[in-house]
Amino acid sequence: MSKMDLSAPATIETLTAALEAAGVDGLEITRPGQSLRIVISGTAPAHTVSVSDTFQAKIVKAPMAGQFLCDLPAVPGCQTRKRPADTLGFLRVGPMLLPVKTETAACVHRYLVDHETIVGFGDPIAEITSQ
Amino acid sequence: MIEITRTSPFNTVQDLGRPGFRHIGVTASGAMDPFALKLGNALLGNDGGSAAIEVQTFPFQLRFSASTAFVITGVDCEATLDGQTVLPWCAATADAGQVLDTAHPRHGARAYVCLAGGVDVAAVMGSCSTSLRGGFGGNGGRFLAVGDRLALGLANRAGDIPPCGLAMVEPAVMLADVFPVAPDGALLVRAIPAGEHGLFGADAERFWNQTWKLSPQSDRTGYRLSGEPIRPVTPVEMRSHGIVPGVVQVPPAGQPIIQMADANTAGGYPKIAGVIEPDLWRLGQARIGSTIRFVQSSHAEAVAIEKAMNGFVEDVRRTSGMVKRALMALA
Repeated sequence: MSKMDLSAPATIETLTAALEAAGVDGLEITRPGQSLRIVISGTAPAHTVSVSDTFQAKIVKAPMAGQFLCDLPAVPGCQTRKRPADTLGFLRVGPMLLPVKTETAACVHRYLVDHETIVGFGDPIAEITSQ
Repeated sequence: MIEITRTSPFNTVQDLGRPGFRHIGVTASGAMDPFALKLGNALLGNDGGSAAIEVQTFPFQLRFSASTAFVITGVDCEATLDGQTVLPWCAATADAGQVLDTAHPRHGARAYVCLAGGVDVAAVMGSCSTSLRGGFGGNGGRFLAVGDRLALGLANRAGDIPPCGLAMVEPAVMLADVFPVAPDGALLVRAIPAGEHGLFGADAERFWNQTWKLSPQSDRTGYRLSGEPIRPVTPVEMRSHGIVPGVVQVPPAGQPIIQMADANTAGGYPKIAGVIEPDLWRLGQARIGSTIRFVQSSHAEAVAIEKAMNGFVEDVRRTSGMVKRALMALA
């Protein structure tokens, strides 16, 4: 049996349709040299379809307890400030915001907690992939 | 030590000013947005009145000669440290040789570069603030120039900033219920009727009801407003008398002047109102050409707002210390 090409649009389309029909939130297929993650829109904080040839996920954990925010609180009458590229969110403790940063340049693969969720020390916050 | 590597005129060293000398003609000076200065100092563990750099003309750039914790408060001036984004209201640590750069802010008027230990310049009459009109205090009584090197005070251990930085929720968010925003974007400035308010008759109503524009003839001494002129019912001749920041005078042309941080110590124009002190910092962040509307307030309301602001500063000081200690314990 020939191996399925996980990067083929037709494959992704077929799998996505099957997931939607079955009411499944998403799937992840990982095999040497290739991986595919499909998360159905509206079922998770991050809804992505991604294919990576060298997928290496890493979990970022909460450095302390607090309320996790994906972005800075909006300032009335001002454009929302974008967070820096190396910051995947903030832990709010009272009036303080502790930036949650990645050690190296990375992109958020998916968030493991929703915006404004209370997390404890060491709780997984996000899955990142190295760039 | 820091070195100024790029600046435009009117950027100065400021602290909370030198009150108590108005009777001998010395204006108080001090930060136009003292709230931003206090919050920056609280986050760094500095004394509340430590001196910082008030940046009101951009771009502005400085180089650190030693590892230094710093925070930019006031406005978001899209700052970078060696090209990496630095969030406003977020304390970070710069290494020796790193360059802090700022761009023109999209909102607001003044940024405060607060540094661990504070800017260490000689105090004059108890304050490190620059008095540009008097030519004393701060950095030799003048605005900063390229090549100026400023010493920093001894940093407090409470100023140790986590490697990821430590930010605070902006006061505009935390105190949104205390500082309402008008739907049309005009700055709502609360004020109390002053001594000559009654002399303006029907024009007094127009003072409160109309939307004023901040004219280009505005600086740290005073803001001149433009709008439909208001005048006393009959011309008033007054002897000069003491005035303070926040006093709204009406010269014969009918365009009000709000006295600001470098306020004159005396004046003879009739006073129609006095801006409450806890709203002066918002005026300090108003841009030339922006609009403002006065809202009648009371002494009790001013005290309540001041209490909320002081509570926020204290909360930042206490909670930032707690977060720093917790991170050290968990490391």
